[in-house]
Amino acid sequence: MKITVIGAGVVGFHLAKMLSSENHDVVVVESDHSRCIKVQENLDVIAIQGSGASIETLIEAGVKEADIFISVTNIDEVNIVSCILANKMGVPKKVARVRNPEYTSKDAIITPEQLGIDLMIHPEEETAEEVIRLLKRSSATDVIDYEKEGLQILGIRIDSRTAPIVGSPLYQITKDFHETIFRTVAIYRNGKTIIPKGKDLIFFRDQIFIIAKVDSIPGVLKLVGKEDEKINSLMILGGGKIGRLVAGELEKMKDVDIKLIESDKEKSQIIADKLNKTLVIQGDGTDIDLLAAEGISDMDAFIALTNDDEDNLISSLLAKHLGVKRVMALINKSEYIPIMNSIGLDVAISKKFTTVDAILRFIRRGHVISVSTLKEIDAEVMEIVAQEGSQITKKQLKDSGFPNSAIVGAIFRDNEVIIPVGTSHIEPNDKVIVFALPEAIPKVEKIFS
Amino acid sequence: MRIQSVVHILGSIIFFLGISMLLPLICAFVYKESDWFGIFLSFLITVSSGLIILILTKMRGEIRAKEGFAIVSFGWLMMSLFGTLPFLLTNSTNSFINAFFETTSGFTTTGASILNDIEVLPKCILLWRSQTQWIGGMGIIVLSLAVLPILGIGGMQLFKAEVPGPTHDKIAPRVGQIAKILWGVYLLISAAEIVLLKIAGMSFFDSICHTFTCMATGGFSTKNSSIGAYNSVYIDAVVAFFMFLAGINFAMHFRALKGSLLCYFKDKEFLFYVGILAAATLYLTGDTYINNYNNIGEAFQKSIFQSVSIGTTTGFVTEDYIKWSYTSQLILFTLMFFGGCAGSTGGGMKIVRILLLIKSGFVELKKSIHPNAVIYVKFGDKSVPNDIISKILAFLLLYIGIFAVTAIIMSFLGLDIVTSIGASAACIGNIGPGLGSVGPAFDYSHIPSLGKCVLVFCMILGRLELYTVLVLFNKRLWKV
Repeated sequence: MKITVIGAGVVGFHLAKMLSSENHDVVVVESDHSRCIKVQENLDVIAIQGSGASIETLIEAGVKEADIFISVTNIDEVNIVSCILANKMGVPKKVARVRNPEYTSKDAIITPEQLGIDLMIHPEEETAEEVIRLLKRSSATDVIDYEKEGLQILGIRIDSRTAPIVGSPLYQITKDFHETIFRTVAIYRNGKTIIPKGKDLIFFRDQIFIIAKVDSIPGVLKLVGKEDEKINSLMILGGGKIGRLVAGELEKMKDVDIKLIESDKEKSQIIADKLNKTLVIQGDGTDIDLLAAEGISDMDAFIALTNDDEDNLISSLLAKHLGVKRVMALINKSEYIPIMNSIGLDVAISKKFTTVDAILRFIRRGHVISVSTLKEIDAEVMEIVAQEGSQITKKQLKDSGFPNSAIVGAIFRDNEVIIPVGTSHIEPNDKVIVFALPEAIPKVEKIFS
Repeated sequence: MRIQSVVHILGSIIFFLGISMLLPLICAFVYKESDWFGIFLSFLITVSSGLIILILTKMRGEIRAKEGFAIVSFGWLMMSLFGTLPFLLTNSTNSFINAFFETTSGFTTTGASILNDIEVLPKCILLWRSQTQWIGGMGIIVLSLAVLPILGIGGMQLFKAEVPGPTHDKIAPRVGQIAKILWGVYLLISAAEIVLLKIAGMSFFDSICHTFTCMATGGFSTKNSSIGAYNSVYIDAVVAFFMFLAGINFAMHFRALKGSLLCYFKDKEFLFYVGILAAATLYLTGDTYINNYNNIGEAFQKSIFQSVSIGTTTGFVTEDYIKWSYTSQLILFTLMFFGGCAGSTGGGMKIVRILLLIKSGFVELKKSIHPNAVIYVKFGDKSVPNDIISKILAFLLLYIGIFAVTAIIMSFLGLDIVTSIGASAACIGNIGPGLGSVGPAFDYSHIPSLGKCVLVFCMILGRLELYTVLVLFNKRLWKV
């Protein structure tokens, strides 16, 4: 497919990288010279310097022939205008990142449809949703929900040496704990993503990704030496958009005691006015005395959501030091994410990766139903339907020529969920969840179609 | 430096080179030549060396700029080494160093030869000799990028390290597609030339060989007196026209083939290229009419052929230009430095660099009159970033520096001044025939072995445009 990406910030760059590694023809438009050079040097795409809202630039970028148009500059208006232009030029699918919630709210005067935009991504809302999801599954670093099918994909950090899953080969574990049905689909170790085979081991400090039915998740958690804890009290740092959205959402839950710390006086007054049950405290989040005075050591969770990465990191580390079990930090600099593991933070939330994820999910609607990217690791999760007569349906899974750097996580067949093994057989029209490293994705798509 | 990845890709280049030896092998069978065994052995050795390397090594990590430099430089060295096998195993050359010189001269599309008598060689070796130029013209790395999809992101680094020119047109989003387009256009124009040469009166075998060396702006011929042997206006015209085409940016040909013929005339580099060649032809015609020929038609025919041939760095000859006036010779000598357009198969410094240098000279003049003026060097209607200008200036300095040092080494080895300068310029610019005793009527066989090695290095430097090879001498490149 021909895809135009406007804006080569973290989101645009990452999108272009993912899409070009999946053999799409990508053209990136970026107004900044040095960013343009960076794209040209590092990615196999065309980079054009110019404004995404300029008709001339868009024509030069070949937008008239594009199949998908994604506008992710850091200016809402540019994103909207460029999508309107792309719409007029006849691009079938248009995506814009728009931070201002007024455009996406239910009572908006102009709706995205009227602007010709198929998907308006609101990064803060997406991120707030992710925070809530992670809070509900408090032992996981990542959660992907398949509510309809009753399935979940969890990212879990192994931080107990004595967890039953540590130290024996995966096929042994499957045998020993046959009543708990799950499948390990990826291991993240020393900065590398491994798609495991039956003889691979899991070590202390690994981050693993497993797929399991919701009812067997408590069993799985026991295996990895964890349990979900009900969160009764939590502290949110930072009253920005995400902080407010999260607090607002959590207020709907029962018996949750929320404290929100905001350093700006006026802002905290506004928040206090808008929120009902949340206790708003005005003060500096990196001030350990303040945190202690507000009883941080008794909190079940601490979420740092300010706009300052360093503040988020420091206050989260403080919280961890003071004994809070569940700590999450919002990280904007994508370079920081790989070190989360080594400095001992549980969960890093990234607005940018959440946005990339949402956009990729939208693009891959086709016979690939949905895709999620996991922020720490390279692997992608894709839902894909096996076509009639495709290569995958002809042989047992282990003989089907399935690429080494991909793994089947689950099969959905007529309201039934199957967690497969090597001898399982995929039938036409099965919906399958596949974990794959980016380079394996085209191959996976091929053998399913 | 990710050495294993580098070696792995070198393995695939060697493998490809081996496969390409099938063509002279087929030729040997067709003409029932007894040398088929030597070619077959070369094919076997090259293919199996490539395969062994491919099996023993693995890709470890992606190709970054530094690996790109190493792969391309060593790839060309490997090609030049393995490419000697057909010469050696059929006893076509009398020493390894001669075979090495001949092969490198082939792949780098220089066209300088150590052979006194070309016509005694078997046809399969003549074909291999021409074929080395054809492969080297568009580049074996570009060919691998077109055929092998695996290189992905690293591909752009390889592409940049091999394809000549200060900047690169991205005519398609993916480097694999660009490589396919370039080789496709190259094949298409080559096919057209074979047909036209055949019509103009060459034998089929000779039209293939000459097409191979013409499209690559190489200049090897199957005749001792090069294109002059045919003494035909039609052949001269066809060859001159295709040399002219080969000296133009192939991205431009692609656009023209897609239907916009006008794109040539919108390109400043093309106009300047035509202008230089026209001016040189004009002067040479007048000069040779007065001094050498009685007939203005003949003077024009020889002059246009020679200016295009030297200007595009091909090096075909129809006349021994050493007999022309000194001014004419110096004009041709100057053309050696200009070379073809960026993205063409031509050598030299490339027209676009010369054009930008001249323009930036004028900008500097203007700035000395208006010290506070903000002036950019414009190319077409776009400003050229200063870092590109300073890169070109550094390129010019290095180019002239290497030219001078090589000429000095040559004179140290006992050659006269004109020959030293001519050999140095002709090798670094990938032209072939130089001046003095390496002029069109002579060859390079009398140059001492050390001199040949230096010239071989110059040819590779010239073909890969200096930086790709020179950066490898930087210690830091190897550390990470």
